[in-house]
Amino acid sequence: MRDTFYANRGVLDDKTCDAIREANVVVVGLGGLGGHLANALVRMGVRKLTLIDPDTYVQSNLNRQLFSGKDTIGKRKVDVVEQALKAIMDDLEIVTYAERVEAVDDAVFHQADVVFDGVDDPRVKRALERRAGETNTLMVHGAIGGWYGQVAVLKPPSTLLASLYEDKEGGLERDLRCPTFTLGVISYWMVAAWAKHVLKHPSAKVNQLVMIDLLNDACEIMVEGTSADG
Amino acid sequence: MVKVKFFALLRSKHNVKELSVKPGTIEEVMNQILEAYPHIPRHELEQAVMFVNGKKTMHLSRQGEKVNEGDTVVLTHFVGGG
Repeated sequence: MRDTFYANRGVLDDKTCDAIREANVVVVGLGGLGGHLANALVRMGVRKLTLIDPDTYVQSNLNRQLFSGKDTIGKRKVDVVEQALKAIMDDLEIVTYAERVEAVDDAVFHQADVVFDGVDDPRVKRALERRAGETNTLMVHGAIGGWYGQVAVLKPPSTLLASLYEDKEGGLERDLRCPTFTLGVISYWMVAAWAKHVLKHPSAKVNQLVMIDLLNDACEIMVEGTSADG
Repeated sequence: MVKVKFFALLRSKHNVKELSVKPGTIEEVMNQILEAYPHIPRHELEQAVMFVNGKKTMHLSRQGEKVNEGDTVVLTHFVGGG
């Protein structure tokens, strides 16, 4: 009988599947990006997940956040997502923090193999990059606004987000908001970027910023990266 | 000359894709863009980010910084939602 993750082996070798299964993965933010990230990571074979988000679901999340629904309004996101993930796979080790990432102990980062950035505030994203640097943790960044998104795998210490965001409080998302289709594309792009990194694929780059324009069917490397081993 | 490529909102909203301008300060480059495309509001350009030769990030609000002969730059706006 074929195992659950047999289909992933079309692109991932056994060694990579083992590394994904053993990886300690942190998802910061369980909103538009984070819900899709958590879902995709579990379906990729991740078993050890730490979920961080202080919020509860509200009505206005329904247009875009994967695990929001009329029955989850008012419930803590970490609890809903944990339950939903365990409904997919039953051998998960999930730790949750229903608090802001700033309040979470550094040990969580030190123990992580990778931190996924699902937060929705450039200031927090910048702080997350700095903290990933201080704790020597790989970070997968993603962000969106309207039809547009960006992805980067950040090898510490990185200043890519510090240079990009500087002291800005928001970008195009303030006017164009965050539609579900762009969130879906970017979150799954983030997971693909990490999978390439774990696979040690020659195309895997770190500290490279890719921007995606769904309206014009365009993709551009804005900041060229280096090979993951370089 | 400097090759300026427009990306994302600037391309979508103002129907501009590419332009060649003379090297100079960001302010001088911006003025050439606005001369060629007067329908682009100045404040939208000032909020943009410029990626130079896939290496360097420059904010257009810093008008004194220079773009050099032979550079290829991409002009866009960043996103921060999630």
